[in-house]
Amino acid sequence: MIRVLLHRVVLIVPILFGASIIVFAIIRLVPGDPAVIMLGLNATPKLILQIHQQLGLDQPVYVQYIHWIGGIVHGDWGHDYLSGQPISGLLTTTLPVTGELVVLSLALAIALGVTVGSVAALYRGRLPDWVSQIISMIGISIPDFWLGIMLTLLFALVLGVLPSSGFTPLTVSIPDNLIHMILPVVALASGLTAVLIRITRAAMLEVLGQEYIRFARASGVPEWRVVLHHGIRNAAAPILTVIGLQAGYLFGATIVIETVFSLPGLGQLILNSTLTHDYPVIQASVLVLTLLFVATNLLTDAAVLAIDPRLRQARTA
Amino acid sequence: MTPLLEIRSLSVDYGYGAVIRDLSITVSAGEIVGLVGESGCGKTTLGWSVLGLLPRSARVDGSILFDGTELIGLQARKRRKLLGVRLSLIPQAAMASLDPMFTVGHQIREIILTHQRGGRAGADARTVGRLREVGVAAPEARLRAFPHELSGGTRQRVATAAAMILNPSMLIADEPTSSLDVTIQAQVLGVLRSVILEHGTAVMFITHDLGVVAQISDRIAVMYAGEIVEEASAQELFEDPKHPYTKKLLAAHPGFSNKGQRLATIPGSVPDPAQRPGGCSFEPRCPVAIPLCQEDRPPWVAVESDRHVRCVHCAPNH
Repeated sequence: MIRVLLHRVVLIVPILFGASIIVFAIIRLVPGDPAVIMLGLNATPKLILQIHQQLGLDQPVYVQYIHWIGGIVHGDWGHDYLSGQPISGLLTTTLPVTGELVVLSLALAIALGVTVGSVAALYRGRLPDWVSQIISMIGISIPDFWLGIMLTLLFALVLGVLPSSGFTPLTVSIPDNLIHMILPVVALASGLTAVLIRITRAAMLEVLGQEYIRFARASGVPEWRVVLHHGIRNAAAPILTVIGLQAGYLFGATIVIETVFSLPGLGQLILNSTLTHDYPVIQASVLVLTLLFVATNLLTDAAVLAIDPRLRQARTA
Repeated sequence: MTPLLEIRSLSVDYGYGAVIRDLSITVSAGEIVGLVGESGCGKTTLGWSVLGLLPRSARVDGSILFDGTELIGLQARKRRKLLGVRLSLIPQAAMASLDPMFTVGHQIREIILTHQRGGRAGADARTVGRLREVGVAAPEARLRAFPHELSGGTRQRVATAAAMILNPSMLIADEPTSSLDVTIQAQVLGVLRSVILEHGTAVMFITHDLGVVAQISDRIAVMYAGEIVEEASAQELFEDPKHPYTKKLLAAHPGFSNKGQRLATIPGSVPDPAQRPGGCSFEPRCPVAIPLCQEDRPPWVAVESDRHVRCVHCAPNH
């Protein structure tokens, strides 16, 4: 098991390397010139050329890339074009915001999705199953940004019980922080919850039809224990795999959700730096997002390996 | 002898016709009753009815008395107190009857601690004893083994030990050896037989294999299309089968037919529960059917005191 995981950790390096090339190339294909944006109305060809020289944009693309990736390897993320601040500082302030948003959303989606999905499987074809199917259909269909706006309208404007936007760091006030997180977390978690309801329902139906479940029931094991102990444990592998894959969408959706709720996180940083063609910031933040996604997948894979004794042993042998 | 298990006029319907139709059978304490029939005749459904494992959608009529307790409509909580303790299942598929996520020791301990107070050490000691009894080699080490690390035969032995761990007075054995290859099947059957005899456990042994019931049963009931068509002591049934279906079944079995001849087959297949014939269920495939067979369901004829056949040819006024 350790060897499998080490192998996967080593594989992260080429993945990140590939991602860095793609990001680097794609943002340069986007029409627009950072120098023009920086200069605004004052842009003259001469000034533009001067800025290109300052930023190294006059060099061939591959040279620019080698220069940039060389810095990353040495732990130098580069500097923000506009403010000239080191990007590492931007990352350390934005990453905790996005991290909290993602972790809370994942926790909410897993708790709700697995619970509702299991109940649906247990009550297959009856009212709770229908209700859960409708909920998950709605959850999959509604775009998260629209849900975010609607939630804000209802809870912030009409009912006035929750703040519509903004962020308080955890270190300043924990209750205040959490109150600001409620709406964004619900909006971000809705899609994943809906997917997890369906996956859990399908996985549980499969497991609950197995002979060992029948045997446990025929041995007088209480139903709650049959479901929680044998059912969930056996259904966990497909559920975890889907969580790992869906986490990618979750990270991507933070860009929209953070914008809707004005959260100063990584997503908003990506959006703003894209609007200003701030190449080093986009590159750095997308690379960090990629790393988060790959790490999440590694974690879910490790969890699957840890849960299933068959995989645990088959791969170490 | 008072019956331990008494099934009276049981009918089970999943919504597309009766899978079990007006079935009655009794099993006395310590008795081994073989229930034979081809696939699709309702054998497994019968076992599930007794254990309360039928899907919620199933419609059940009749009565199943176990040691004086009516099992049909019994509260789940009360049923759980019986299951595993006094009434156990030896499950069907040797490969799939143990949870792949947990060790053997964990799964048997779970059954013990569900029903009785006690600690892990005591439960494990009992498990080791029972595993040894069913012929599992190195039982202490097997406690920590996962099901996938065991052979099919050992898994079935472990499942047997799990079913017997609390000394139930009755077992429902649902094709316990069918998924094993023949040599292992004989070994497991031998172990099962000796353990059952030693503890005086009553068994309803469900199988499609006449050879297997012949080895293990005191009495045999032959099932066809959700009914019992013939019931006799093992010896009587093999020496002098009365029902045409039983005769055909014996002729189709290599162990009981004449050597050197081509094996007989029974043309056709078990009728679908939704399209069961009005009269005798076996009439369409029966070589000795007469017009009367299409009209009325044949009577349950007592050929001898404990021998019954459902066939017009055995009726006294025929």
